[in-house]
Amino acid sequence: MSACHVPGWHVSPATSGLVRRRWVQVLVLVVGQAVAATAAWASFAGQSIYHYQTYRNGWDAREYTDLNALCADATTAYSIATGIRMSSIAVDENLQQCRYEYTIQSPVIGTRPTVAHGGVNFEVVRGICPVNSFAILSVYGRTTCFCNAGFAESGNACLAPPRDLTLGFFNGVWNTEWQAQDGLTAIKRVVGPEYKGRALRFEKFYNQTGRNTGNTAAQDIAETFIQRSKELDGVLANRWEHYWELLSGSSRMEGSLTQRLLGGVRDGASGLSDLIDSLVSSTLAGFVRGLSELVSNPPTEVDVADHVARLQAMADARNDFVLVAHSQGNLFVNIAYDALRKTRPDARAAVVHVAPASPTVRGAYVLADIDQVINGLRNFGSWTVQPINFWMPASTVDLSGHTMVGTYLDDVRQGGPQPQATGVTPRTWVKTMVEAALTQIASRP
Amino acid sequence: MNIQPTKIRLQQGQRRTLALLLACALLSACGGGSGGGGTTGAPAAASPASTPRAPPAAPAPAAQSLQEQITAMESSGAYPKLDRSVDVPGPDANGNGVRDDIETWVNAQPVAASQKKALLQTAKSLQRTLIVALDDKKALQTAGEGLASSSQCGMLQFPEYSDFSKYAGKIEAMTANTRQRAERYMKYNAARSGSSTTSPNGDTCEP
Repeated sequence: MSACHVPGWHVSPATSGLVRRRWVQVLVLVVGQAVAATAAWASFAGQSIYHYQTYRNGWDAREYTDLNALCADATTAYSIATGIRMSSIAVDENLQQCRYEYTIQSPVIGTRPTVAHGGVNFEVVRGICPVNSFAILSVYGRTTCFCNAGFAESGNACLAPPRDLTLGFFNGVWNTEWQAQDGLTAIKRVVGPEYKGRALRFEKFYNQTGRNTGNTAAQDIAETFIQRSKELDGVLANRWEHYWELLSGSSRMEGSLTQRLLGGVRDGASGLSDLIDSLVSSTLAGFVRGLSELVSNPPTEVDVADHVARLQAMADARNDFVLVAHSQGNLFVNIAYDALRKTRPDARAAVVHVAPASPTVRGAYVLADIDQVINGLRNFGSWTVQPINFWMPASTVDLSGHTMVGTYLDDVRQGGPQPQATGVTPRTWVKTMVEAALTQIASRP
Repeated sequence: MNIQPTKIRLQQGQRRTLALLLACALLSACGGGSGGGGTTGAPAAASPASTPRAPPAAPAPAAQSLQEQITAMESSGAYPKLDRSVDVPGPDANGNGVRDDIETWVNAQPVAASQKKALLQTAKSLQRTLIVALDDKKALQTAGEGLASSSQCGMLQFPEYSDFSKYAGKIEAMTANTRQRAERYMKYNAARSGSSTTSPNGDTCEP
């Protein structure tokens, strides 16, 4: 909105002193055109809004929250209109006037000039518009409230748009980035791209197993493979595809490269099979050892600084979160969650723990009885691993019983929350937990 | 444990048979022809030792070493014949960003054409992780986003995501199949630690 001021103010009866009478024509845009200029207007809900007027022009359509600025403009405009150089000197809230002074030259030579004073009225409009809105004064003197940009009108209120929903994933032990992505996409497939009509964003927070602790155990696993692959005349020596299948827990899965190798040899097959089984066991032991090191020397905020910064930036961009963590990812998600709650209390967040290696949890969790990695931590005994709360049969799809896709998102095996229970797959169980978390954070107005 | 060639040990019956054969061979060599109008005499009365017996059993084939057996499997197609050269990228004759041996493997899988394309896209994104500059954060992020896009494509093309996941897991394993590639792949993953990546929505399958 803009207002065009033409010289010719008349002072109000409260104004004293001699003034030059000139007509002032003030153009006020109609309310509809104010919408185009809304960006220039700040929200003032709850504050006082001021307009100024004289007898001649009616209310000036500009609005002020700052009285000093109003009076400076009003005095300037009045000076231009009258041709008299006036100076704004004070704001008189009792009289609701912008006080000004000016100098009157005496026609008598040698006589000192006289200082005269006057005032331009202003009107106070208080708290007329709700939070997140602004008012425009129409030519008819009515004040109309408009919601600020991005806010939706709802009755007499201006509601903030719903915040975005983000599902973040903190990966498990010694996952490659591909495996972490695989876990997140599997969750996305299970949960779906939206929740109750609201689009979901899926974010991968990748951690390779801490920056300091745990890496020695990962190196140990690789070293073990290097050493053991020299056995049987070095048959596995340059066949690292089997190492990656060991890490992913898929060595004994039907159709795996390792199973194809074992299935195709005749002479010496038992020796090779024994070697593979031995590597599976030592890899599992390596996982448990590394996790125990990590729990003994848990990650700190420094280790998750990049992820926390990302979460904070997303919170500032109006995101709420469901954070899903697997295995050692739970150690990292706890720190990230605590930091987010501390620094961005307005952002809602819930955590879903899958196979938590952490002694504490921040939300619902699932831990299968067949999970050899997490349950193996109990043998290290110096902390408490969460109690088992899901029972299911073992499978060669994932001998470790620990992987996200192979075990906790399996949709074939039936299990349940008690021993011997059947009737629900782990995928359904995890999906239910995630949906409950989404309901929790999405319920804010 | 070392595998040694198995010595062939004959059974007692086999030894007797062999001896008979040798004896017959010797006898036929010593027997002469007739002299002038020689008449053939009545054949000698058969002795119990010359009673015809079953031919000797063929000797058992020598056991193959594990490596020989694996080589045979690779030749027959029972196990994928992978490139194991020392250079990290490996051969890519058609320059499509997918290593030739992995491309051969993907094209041999019993899946639809669109699913093969999704798997090739995954192979390409994984191959990129072996050659991306490890000190270039932007390039690393692009590589990570490539993994996300190919995973999204796989989700769209395979009705059951776990089927895609199994194929993709094998592609990952085959991509980093030598010590040099495995070490390079570990460095890539270490460089990506601490990163965050948004999963894309919609159709991310490459044309």
